[in-house]
Amino acid sequence: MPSKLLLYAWYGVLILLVISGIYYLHAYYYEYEAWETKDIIPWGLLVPSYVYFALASTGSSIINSLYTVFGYKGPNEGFEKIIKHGVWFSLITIIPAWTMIILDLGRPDHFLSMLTSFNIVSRIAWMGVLYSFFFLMLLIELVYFIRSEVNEKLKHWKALELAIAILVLFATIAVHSNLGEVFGSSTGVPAWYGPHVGAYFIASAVLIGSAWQLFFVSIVYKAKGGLSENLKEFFVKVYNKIFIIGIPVLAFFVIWNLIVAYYYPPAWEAYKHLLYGEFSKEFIIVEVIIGLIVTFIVAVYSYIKKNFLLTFINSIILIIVGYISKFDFIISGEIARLSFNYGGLTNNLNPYYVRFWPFDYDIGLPEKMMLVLAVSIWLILLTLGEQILPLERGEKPKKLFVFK
Amino acid sequence: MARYAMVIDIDRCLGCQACVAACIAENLNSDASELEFQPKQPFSVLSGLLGIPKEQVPPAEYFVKKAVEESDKYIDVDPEKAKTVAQEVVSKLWTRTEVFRIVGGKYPHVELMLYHRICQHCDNAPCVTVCPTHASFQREDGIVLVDPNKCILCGSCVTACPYAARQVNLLTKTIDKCTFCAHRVDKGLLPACVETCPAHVRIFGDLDDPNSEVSQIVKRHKAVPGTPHGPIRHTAARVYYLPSSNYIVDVEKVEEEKEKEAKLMTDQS
Ligand code: SF4
Ligand code: SF4
Ligand code: SF4
Repeated sequence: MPSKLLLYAWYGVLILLVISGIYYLHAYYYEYEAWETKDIIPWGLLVPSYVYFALASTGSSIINSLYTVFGYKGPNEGFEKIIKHGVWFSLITIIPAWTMIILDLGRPDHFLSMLTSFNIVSRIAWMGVLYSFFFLMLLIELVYFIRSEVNEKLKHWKALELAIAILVLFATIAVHSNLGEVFGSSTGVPAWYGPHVGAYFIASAVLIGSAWQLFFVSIVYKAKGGLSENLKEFFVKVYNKIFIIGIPVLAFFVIWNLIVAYYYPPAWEAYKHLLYGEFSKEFIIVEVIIGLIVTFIVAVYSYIKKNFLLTFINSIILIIVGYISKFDFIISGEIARLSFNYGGLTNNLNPYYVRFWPFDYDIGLPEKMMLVLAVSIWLILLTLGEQILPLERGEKPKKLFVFK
Repeated sequence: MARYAMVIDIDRCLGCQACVAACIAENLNSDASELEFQPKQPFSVLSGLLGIPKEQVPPAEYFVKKAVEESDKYIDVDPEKAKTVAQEVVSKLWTRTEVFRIVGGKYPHVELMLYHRICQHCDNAPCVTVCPTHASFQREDGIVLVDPNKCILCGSCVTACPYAARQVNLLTKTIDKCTFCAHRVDKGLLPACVETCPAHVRIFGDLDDPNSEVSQIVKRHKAVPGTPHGPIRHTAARVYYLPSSNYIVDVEKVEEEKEKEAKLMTDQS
């Protein structure tokens, strides 16, 4: 563990951020002069951030299933060692996603209508149900893993372990399909419209989830002083392989998105923002050159050279690029919206452009504060879990009654 | 059952914005406020628990206050601009319908069009499908409405609407859109914008009634749903546009024919 002081400082800063976030947002909500851009960019900063955390959580869960469902232990039984950390990460990372999507609601005081007036055909309505199911299944899986350390019968009850793992995987896929559909069926945003968005999200999720898992678990072991050579070798061999397969798959979907958009002018409007507009630097340099080409080369190089440090740095790059690319994809789609042909002359003119042109999306302070709040809560929980829960292989539960 | 629709004859439009003004006058602070779906102003749950009261501002007062606040910034420097800003604020605050002047192409191939943005009351409305709380719903007569008391302002209907017909009502902080003036239609009146238009650009009626003016126009002329260039998605839009400059509504003739047909029907029965 790092020195106690460092840990207290870490908690102190995070708690301070949470308190100031709550105070600011309460004061702001009370005044409520906000959301003036909600109709132009109805899904601002918090939605891409929510998607990002949902992808990190589900992506990490897909990686976990390599061990839990398919029984792949990896070199030096690495997965067996880290699996509880992986499940904990997936479980707790869905919390910021939840927090953000709830904070993004303009009228949280009407939230009860989600229950009393549930629309069975609405993907958004199902999101709450599916995330709860996903969360519950992950919780059961974590409790199972922890309890089986003290219960021999449970430890050898492989059918139960597999059943839980399959349910977790099922929940992961359900959550993903639904998320893909939320965007893919957005008739008002051509750049998102279509089944390719779901596939693009899954490919991103695997990369973001695995990169986060590698980063998080390495930090935890480093902090606890147990990042052994065996574990490093496991990370280098397995996670680089995931990157080497995952990056070209993601590149394929990025190209697919581009091709689909190219043949549909209203969707191409969004790609104009990405290729030549205000997002072009981020798209071409960050997402394509760094996020797809450089990371791929580094993954191949560090796999061949068995270089852990490079693998670790690569995971940080993937984590950052993953966020930027989701933000740009979602926001550029909203800025572009739709265009129509006017009198045989192809125009940018569309109801949104006419209403709001020229228009830039400025991220408001409340949105930033909500993001800070959600991320701080997440980091507190993540650290607390690592301190309190018995997440090491063979570690017996001491502190929490439920695991005894 | 009636199936309401609207026809917009763009070529007749003067761009006078009387429809926009009528919509504001009718819906902002009139008997529409007696509607069953009168929204409450937002109130923080936390403030409620702490017992902090929130002042409820009457709609018109709020709008005026906002307009004055914004235009005050320019009043000393540029009084003309202050006036425009005040107008802009009001139209930004109330945008159930708008009329835009769209200039397309490059000189000498320039085209001008007045585009009416309004909810299409789609038969296959994606905004209704995506709404998680049934706040957006469709009446049997096809009018799509929002119950602001159920709206959680998730924004998904905004991303679902291909016609940019939805916006946040800055006063109620819930989603707002054209209601086809349901409160008037229920009383047998025409929507305010239709009644006000001096050039008979907006024509409203029942598509299920073969004698109605909208049925006649949709049947006889090439009225296209959605936009003057056709629908954007397959949402079965029910606002039709008459884009052709060859077409001029001969109201008297339509009336004559309607009468003839009605007479025929009575004779037959
Ligand atoms: S135009 Fe938009 S808001 Fe109106 S019914 Fe169609 S989808 Fe819904
Ligand atoms: S913003 Fe309101 S009306 Fe629109 S989908 Fe969400 S709850 Fe329904
Ligand atoms: S029909 Fe719609 S646009 Fe016209 S006045 Fe009524 S609410 Fe406004």
